[in-house]
Amino acid sequence: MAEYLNLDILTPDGRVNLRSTEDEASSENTAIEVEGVELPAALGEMGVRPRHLPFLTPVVPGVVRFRFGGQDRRMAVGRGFLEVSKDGTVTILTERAVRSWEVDTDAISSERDEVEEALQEFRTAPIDDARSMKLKARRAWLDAQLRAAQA
Amino acid sequence: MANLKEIRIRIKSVKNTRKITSAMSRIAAARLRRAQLAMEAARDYGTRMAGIVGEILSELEDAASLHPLLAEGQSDAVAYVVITADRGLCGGFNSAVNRQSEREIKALREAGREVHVITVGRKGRDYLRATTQVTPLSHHTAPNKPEEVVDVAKGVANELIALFEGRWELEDTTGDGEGDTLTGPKVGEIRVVYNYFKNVITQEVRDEQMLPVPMPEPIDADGDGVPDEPREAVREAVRAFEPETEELLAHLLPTAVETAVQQALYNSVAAEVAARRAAMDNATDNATELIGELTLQYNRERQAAITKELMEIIGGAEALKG
Repeated sequence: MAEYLNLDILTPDGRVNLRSTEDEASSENTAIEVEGVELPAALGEMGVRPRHLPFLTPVVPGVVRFRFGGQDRRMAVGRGFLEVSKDGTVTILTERAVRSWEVDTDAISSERDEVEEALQEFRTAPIDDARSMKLKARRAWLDAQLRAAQA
Repeated sequence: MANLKEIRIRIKSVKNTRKITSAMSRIAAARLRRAQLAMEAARDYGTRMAGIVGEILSELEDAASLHPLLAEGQSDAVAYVVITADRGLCGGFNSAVNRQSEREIKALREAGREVHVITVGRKGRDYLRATTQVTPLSHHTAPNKPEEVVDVAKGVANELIALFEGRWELEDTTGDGEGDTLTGPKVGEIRVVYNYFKNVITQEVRDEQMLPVPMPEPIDADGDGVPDEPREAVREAVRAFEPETEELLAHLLPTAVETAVQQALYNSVAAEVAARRAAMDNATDNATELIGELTLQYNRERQAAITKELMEIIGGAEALKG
């Protein structure tokens, strides 16, 4: 029958509650069993299914998708790492994660516009300019949240 | 001998002090639990992340030549990140870090090396300014709540990397109004001094190297003296990026620096509340003890005064009988 893998998302704020759509404190907060998960790896979008090889790869800001409790769920994640262990546990270590239903779309899009505008100033700046890199990183994270909320 | 009124005033003032210290101790105790939980959650993340970083770095051949953040800096200058609190009344918390940083900064200066400082927390900035005349390159407010740590850590980590890579820019202060940026200092080594949260009653000053990213010790989990074979997953990860290993490192190293800063901050926040709770607890106990002593003294004095008055009355009556 169907096989499962354990999905776990860890951030500096602790383990993300993937189990419920309620707020953090509501239910027990452990890894969940999913049939598969899609996530944005540094070398491109990838999917992990049960019995994947042990694997390690960087994660870039983007959207993580999985199915749990009969629902499709999405989540925006920041930079981090993916680790698939031998016993089939998928751990995403990321600097931050927001669940799609928590994204405040209006606030995010207006902030994205501001960032975009600020970036215009740096169009001619060298590509490794510290401030423009910072803005671009910010934009990537805002985009990830927007995509999680929309798609 | 103090008179009664003086003692009464003293008792009242100590009682007021005790109210403050006991309130502060209770607030700290309530915050402590939250800070401790946040720190433990962050420690999970931090150790996993440090583990991955370590495994990948030890798998790379001659890692130091692959990325500037791993290589010895060409500059002699050293930068310190000094993490303290914004507020006092927390025992030796701030002064332990301050004294250690002061000592190291002075020693390095005597050795003729340039020292730069980035401070987190007002107490460290003020102290170092007064004792070593150093003006911090940048200053951050100490994070009060665990939620603020991630943002502060991001800011600090970006600054550290910029400083190490020589991309630090000074605001133009020449006053010609053109606002152009000058190239700032470049450092060859960055260290962080902070309070490590050992447990609720012990904090420990730690001094760690941040940049260049330290190479990990060989992992030897089974303790047989032979370094363990790297896991297949790690090899696979490194191989997947070949020959663009730099790309992997460009992702890995900033994350490593940021995580290390985060860990230091989380520890410092938790250690601060723990230190404050212990200090205020002690202060409350001392106040209680002092009030006891003063009350005893007050009662003695009062009794002595009554006895004296009685003696005088009796003496007067005896004299009249005369």
